[in-house]
Amino acid sequence: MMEKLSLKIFLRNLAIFIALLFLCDRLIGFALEKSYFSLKIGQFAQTTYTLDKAAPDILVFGSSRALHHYSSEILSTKLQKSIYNAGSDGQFLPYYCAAQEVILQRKIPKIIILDVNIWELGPNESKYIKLASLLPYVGEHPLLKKYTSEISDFENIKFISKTYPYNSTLLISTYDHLFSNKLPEDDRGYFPLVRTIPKNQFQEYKEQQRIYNEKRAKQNIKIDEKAMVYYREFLQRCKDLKIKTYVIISPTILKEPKSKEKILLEIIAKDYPNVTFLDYSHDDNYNNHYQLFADEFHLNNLGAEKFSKELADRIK
Amino acid sequence: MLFNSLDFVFFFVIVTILYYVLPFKSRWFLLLAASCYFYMAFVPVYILILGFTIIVDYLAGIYIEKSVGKKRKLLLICSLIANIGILAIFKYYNFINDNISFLATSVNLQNHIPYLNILLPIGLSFHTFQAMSYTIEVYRGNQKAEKHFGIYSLYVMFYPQLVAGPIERPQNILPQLHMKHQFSYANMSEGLKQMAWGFFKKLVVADRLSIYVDTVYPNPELHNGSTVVLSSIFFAIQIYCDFSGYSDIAIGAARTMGFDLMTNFKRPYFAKSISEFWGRWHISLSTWFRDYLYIPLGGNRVKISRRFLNLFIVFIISGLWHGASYNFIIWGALHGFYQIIGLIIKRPLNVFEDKLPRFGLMTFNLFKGIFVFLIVTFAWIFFRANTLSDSFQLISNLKTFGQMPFLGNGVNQMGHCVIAIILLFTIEYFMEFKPSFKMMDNKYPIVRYASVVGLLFIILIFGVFNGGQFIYFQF
Repeated sequence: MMEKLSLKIFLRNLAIFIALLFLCDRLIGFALEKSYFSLKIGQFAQTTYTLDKAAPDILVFGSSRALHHYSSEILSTKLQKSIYNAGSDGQFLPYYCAAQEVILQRKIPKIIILDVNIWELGPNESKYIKLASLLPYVGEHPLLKKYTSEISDFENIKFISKTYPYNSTLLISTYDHLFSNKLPEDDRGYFPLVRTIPKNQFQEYKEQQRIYNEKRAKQNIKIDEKAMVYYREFLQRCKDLKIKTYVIISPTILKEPKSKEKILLEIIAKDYPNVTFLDYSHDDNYNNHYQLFADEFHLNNLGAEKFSKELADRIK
Repeated sequence: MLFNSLDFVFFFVIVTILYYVLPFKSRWFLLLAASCYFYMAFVPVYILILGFTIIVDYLAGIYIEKSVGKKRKLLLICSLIANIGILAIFKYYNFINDNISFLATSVNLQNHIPYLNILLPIGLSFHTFQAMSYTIEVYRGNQKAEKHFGIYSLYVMFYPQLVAGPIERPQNILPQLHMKHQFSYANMSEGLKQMAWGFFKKLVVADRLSIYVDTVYPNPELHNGSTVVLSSIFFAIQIYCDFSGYSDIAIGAARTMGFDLMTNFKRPYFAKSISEFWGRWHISLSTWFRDYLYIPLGGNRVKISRRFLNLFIVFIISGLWHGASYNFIIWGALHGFYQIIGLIIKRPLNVFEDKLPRFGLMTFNLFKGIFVFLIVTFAWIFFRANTLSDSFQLISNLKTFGQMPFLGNGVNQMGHCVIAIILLFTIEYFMEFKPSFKMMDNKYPIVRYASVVGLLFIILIFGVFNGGQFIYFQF
């Protein structure tokens, strides 16, 4: 008798709780959505522009290295074409592929520049987890579901919640709203880094990198087959739509060793006649010229301008 | 099957409903079948190993009870050899072989013993220790041998604590497995709340901090001293939330079905001495070592030098229990060393504290708490580093402490880490020092509902939903 009564109370309270949860989810999800899509500046605003509006003649894809290395002004002026830099911090091939597929539905650009990292095909599960940045856009672009399903097995079930797509966005969203006047403005997606890596930091990095490369040379790096599929998919789409494509390893502060992943990036690119593969990671005009770099991984504004000019001349 | 996956949510709901729907007589079978399914979701074939130890210990328990004298002891030894033997093969074989190879090479010989290319069964050390505690307790006469094979199997395999504890004692769990648990609102509500708290620790704190830690630790040569300090502090908090989060989910899940599992963590980073830390950290393992190793070695009733040696042995073995590598041995040895120093300075410290005024004592206690946290964090470097040389590299990097640390991707990563840590320690502060201040168990329903809903939305908004498995599964 007591058990039945206890169960009855529990079920009643559970129903109230679920109703409350549902209501809060709708309200909080709605508030987060409004906050997210009302951003005018910052990382989220740039992703929104990339996926919802960008329709230029030249499109740049890649990670933060794309974002900071390709000057929109220089490339646009020299090539006499409109441009948008769709580089995204910390992203990898699956994200570039998703963004490319969405944009190509809207507009077919004349040129695509794909900036690849040397570790693009290396094993790194986080490249799929980072696809979570696409979650707020699945409602508007359902084709993204096939990418977001890479995040986890039950990813699409999680869309029952209206709050979940905005998971981990509140902090940046709030920051970008509060400090929107202090955030650097992008130039058609391009963010120049106006600083130079200190010489001692560069020397330290050189030593660290030497040890790191020695260690890495002994490791048997497993190629991420899935990333390779995304790479081919990206290039195939460019080929099918006859888009002139440049796959570029942009300048690095130190010479990068010829790793298995790097060689593979070049071999695959050569399978596509519309693709030109350019490797600047062994370019003496950049390697060791720390004055052209903002940090260990990114060119500063001077380096980016020099590189963009050089690239524009090559593309012309 | 991971606790932090949707698979588990479905599994948990179905098993808990079926548990109350089915008649009492078939509940043990449901739980056993569910536990087998839960375990087989990792690597199915390893259930055979578990099956082997269950049969050996089940029979050993019955025969030990029936036997006397030397035969009784012999049966216990056989059972312990079978359990430790499995641990030795799966966990320590390649490590021992490595050492043989090293020694052989140093005298220009070759080691021809082949290596085993096998995966370590998930949670092997946990269920082996739980099984061993059964046969030891039967041998000591503290526990009657379990005659029901299904119930005994469930004692080893009960899914909430199967792969990462708490390592239960037969006296606590076996009688509960025979008991009929009626549906209780209090059990269900408290169990679910404890699970929610566990999910908060795992998803909001541990998995968030792990993003930073996992960037730094695999590449120690790339990071300066400040980054090593920051990532080590993060790891100290990560491992606590990962493991205690697991324990909370396990204890909560068992509670929803009316089972009371032992407490495994009591806010260890509020400890003011290293011995207090071990009284709050992984309590089920610490008490296991106390009852089945430290006390049989002589415990506290021996000469002080012998006591120090016993402590050191226990902590070295505790290190080895975690993994077959010198990193874990050094981690254990460091804790053994800390314990010995703690014992040496205990009396002068007490004398000093007695002379302090109230405010001075509070300040001194705070200082002790921070000191304990820092030395525990230092030991974690060995625990987390991939290799011994990585550990030393990380420690040598400390000389560049003071430089700007690596901040990941800035506001987002660090902001989430800081929020997670502040939330954790604020809530734990109230649990520790103001236990009467209860939010989820408040007398006003509105506060109760608001706090539970609030916790769930903190998880939904700040949690990491694709973090990996629990750290302690590997042990």
